[in-house]
Amino acid sequence: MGMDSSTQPETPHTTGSQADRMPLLQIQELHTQFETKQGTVRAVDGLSLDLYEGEVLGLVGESGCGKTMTALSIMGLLPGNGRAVAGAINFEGKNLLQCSGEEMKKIRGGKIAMVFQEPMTALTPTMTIGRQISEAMEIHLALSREEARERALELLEHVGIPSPRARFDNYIHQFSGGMRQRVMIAIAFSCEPRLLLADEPTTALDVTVQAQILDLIKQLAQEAGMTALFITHDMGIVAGSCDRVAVMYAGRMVEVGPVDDVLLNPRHPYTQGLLGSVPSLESKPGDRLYSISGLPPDLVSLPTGCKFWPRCPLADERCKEEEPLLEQYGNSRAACWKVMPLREVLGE
Amino acid sequence: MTADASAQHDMFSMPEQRSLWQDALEQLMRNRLAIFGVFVAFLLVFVSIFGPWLSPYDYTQQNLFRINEGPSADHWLGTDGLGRDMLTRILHGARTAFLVGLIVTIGTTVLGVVLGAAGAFLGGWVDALVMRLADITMAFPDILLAAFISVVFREKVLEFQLHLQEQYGWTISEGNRVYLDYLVIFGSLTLVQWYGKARLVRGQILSLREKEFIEAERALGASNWTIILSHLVPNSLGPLIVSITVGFGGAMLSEASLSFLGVGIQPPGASWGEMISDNLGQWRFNPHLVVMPGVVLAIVVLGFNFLGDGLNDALNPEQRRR
Amino acid sequence: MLAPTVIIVMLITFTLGYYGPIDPVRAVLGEEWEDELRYAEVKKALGLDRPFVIQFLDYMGTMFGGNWGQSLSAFGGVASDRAVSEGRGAGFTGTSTSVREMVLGRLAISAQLSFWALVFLTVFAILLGVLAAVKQNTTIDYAIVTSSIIASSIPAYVIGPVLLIIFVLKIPVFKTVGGWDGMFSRQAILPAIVLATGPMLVIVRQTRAGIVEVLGKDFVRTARAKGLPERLVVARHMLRTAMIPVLTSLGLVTSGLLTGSLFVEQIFNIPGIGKLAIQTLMSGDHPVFMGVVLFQALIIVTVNLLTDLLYGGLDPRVTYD
Ligand SMILES: Nc1ncnc2c1ncn2[C@@H]1O[C@H](COP(=O)(O)OP(=O)(O)O)[C@@H](O)[C@H]1O
Ligand code: SF4
Ligand SMILES: [Mg+2]
Repeated sequence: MGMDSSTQPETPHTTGSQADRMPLLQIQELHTQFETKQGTVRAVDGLSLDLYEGEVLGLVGESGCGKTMTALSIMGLLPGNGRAVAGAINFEGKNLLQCSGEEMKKIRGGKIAMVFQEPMTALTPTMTIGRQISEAMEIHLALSREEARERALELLEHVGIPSPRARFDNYIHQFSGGMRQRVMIAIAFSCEPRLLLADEPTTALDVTVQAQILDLIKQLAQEAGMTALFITHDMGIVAGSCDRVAVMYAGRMVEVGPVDDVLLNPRHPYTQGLLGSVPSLESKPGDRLYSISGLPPDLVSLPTGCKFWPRCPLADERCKEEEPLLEQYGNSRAACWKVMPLREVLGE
Repeated sequence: MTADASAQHDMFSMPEQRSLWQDALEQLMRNRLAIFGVFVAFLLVFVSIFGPWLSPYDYTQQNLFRINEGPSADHWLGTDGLGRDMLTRILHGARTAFLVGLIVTIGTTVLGVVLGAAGAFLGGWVDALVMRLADITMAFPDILLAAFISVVFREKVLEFQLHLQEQYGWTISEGNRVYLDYLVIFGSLTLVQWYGKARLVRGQILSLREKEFIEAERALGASNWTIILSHLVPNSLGPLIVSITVGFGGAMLSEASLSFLGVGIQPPGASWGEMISDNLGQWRFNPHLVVMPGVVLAIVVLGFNFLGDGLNDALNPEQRRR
Repeated sequence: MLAPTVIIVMLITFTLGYYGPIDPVRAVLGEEWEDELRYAEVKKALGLDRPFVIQFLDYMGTMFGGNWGQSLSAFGGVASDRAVSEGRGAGFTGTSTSVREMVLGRLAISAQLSFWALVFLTVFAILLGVLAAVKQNTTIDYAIVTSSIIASSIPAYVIGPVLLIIFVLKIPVFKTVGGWDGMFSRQAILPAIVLATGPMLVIVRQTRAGIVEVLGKDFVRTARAKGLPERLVVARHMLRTAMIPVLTSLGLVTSGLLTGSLFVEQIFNIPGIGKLAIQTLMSGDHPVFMGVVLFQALIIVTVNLLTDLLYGGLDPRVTYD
């Protein structure tokens, strides 16, 4: 709130086609906070982000940097004492932060759907999976119970659950983690939403299943021409699935741009660190990889200046005092006083 | 601060246990309802000891010229249908409630601990028998069973007393006959209420036996008694104290219930339950005769429940009910 | 599980009855019991001259045969006189002497009373529990839980008269009290409320705990993320999971109501099964008393069993293999 960092909304600047499009979702200066006994936790602290029709945007960052809270702010489902205290989230001409409960109910599940991280706990144990899929369609698509059932069976088939008819009346305890996530995906796609928020949909799954689930989401999103916010902390997933990527640190965005640009030419030391921890094809055994030391900052009392300086190998006095704003570098934008290509850091 | 220093000193001189009890006491003292319970308990003890000296009347003393009176200067709480002073009878009822509560609690605790521990330590058929007995006792509607046992038991006690009188010339004065009632209630309630504590003690022992540190100590050659004294007793004491407190209130309530049904304390003796049933016919004309013993009974039962709850929160913080 | 428990319960009640306080022959004969000839005659008629084991086997036979024996009042004499004189109040059908008919007839009244208490509990106590959970750790929560403790701690024979005094004397809402005039009479209201106060705390606490546990669960968030109306989120996704412990405890509560209606029946002079038990215990009509105790034990054991089954039916995670 007190910080007046990058106030200007992010403007489309990348590939020519995107420049003409209006963003489907526009997050402006979002501040999401938790009031706790220890003080105000700034989970999201002045985040601005645009999502364009039909694109898949990856949102990356270490655990605890505010990715989930960003998604939950969009959904209006912040837990307990969490509040989106300032900013705006514009979607289809409405500011979601100011929508009434009734309006939000129409948007949730109907226009914006979310896939959660924990398939083991995110489904109701005392309800058949079939009903859990069909109930949203009864509401948003005004289908009868029978019609919703038929659609749910198709969806189950579509997300790759064998013998859907037999599985329809099962409970989740009879499903594996991967299967549960397929059910979650079926629920999310059931009402043909315009926007999908996928919060680390594969993190909790076995490595062998991860790729399948990822492919499933990609395929379904492509078929439906859906816009998606893909939250992950895995740069490999970003490389394989996303069009653009936004990097978050301590509740704010530090770098954003087309995937190719950001991954091949990361500007921000934090992004470089994140990438450094992913061995790439070029890296030979013995290469020293730069990875980030230290811990993420305490969100109750953030450092002054650049929030990354306590962990940044390049930090100097200016970094400690002045906060850098997002600036354009080539096709992507980064917030750092000392932007430089990755090779210079690694190459010595 | 000196308080801090002494607390630290304690931490060093006494291992964990002491500070656990201190924590518990502090927490208990922060619970206003539990404080109320402590106050009620102390008041009950005081009144049951000194009650007879607090009032100028005898609790059996009738005055047929002054029956069913409301509160007045010489009868603060009025008089009942036989002109007996209500306050005096309520004070004596406190003695009855407390003494019965005490002996029944001792009885059920001893029986429960012995049977529960026997089942857990000896296992095999002993354990099976104890658990079976508990199941069966539980299967009975408890107040009916207690009523039945007290009717049966009363007959036996009276026969025995008559036998003593004929054989040895031991007589029992009218005023002391109430102790026979205590005996009857003690017998019936102990037989009906022992199983809760038995299950508790058995469960505690069995769960503790599973714990690794016990196995480790056993492997190191610690004797059964060392383990019992150093782990079992401190660990089971909390739940047992809670159970005893709640059980004490429960026993007093059961005494009142049996007396209300007419199978507990017999008429000239004073019991709150007996007073309620005795005056029940007067509810329309002299409501205070029913309400007063009822309110006193309610306060005492509530006090012990609050205290039990508070102790539970303080002593077993990991399984807090609220 | 069921049969052996019942047999042992029978054995215990029978033994207590056999060595019991009131000689059935004396109960039947009253003043005449000193006449040795009459005494022997009645003793033979009651089958009491046979050895203990034979009597017990015979007793088991009559119980399992579905004919639960005869009330002592069938043999005339004091027991029956007393039963009649005790049987004041409306609604008594004191004519039958078959234990089964007596028990079942009275049970019907207690069951109706318990039914109302249960209705009162499910509506009122569950609502309070949900409210306390939603307002967790506020004054409202605290007030609800504390007042439930108070309501449940105080015995029916204190609450009953107090409510009588309030709602008949102070604010005359009810005119006729006591006795039984069918399930749908105004007389049934007060006793049902008093009966319901007993298990109130259990239900409030269970509901509260169940809802509190579910409130922060991920699956509730998923349900909200679907855009379901809050009503459906609570009804479909929260209540069912939260209510499993409540519903299972409702089973126990029901048997508790049936066996615990004793005091309410005594206070309001309702000829239910508890009143029958006390009457026959006092008059020495053991066949009937034992019938009541056995029947109630049967209810308790069956409900415990049903509760386990119900739990399995409600919670899909529990499977029987
Ligand atoms: N209920 C809460 N109370 C206080 N702080 C919270 C709460 N939930 C999340 N946070 C804080 O918000 C920050 C962002 O969390 P989150 O968005 O879940 O991170 P992630 O990027 O891993 O998804 C975390 O550092 C956490 O400390
Ligand atoms: S601004 Fe300074 S501290 Fe921040 S990332 Fe850039 S170099 Fe590091
Ligand atoms: Mg997260």
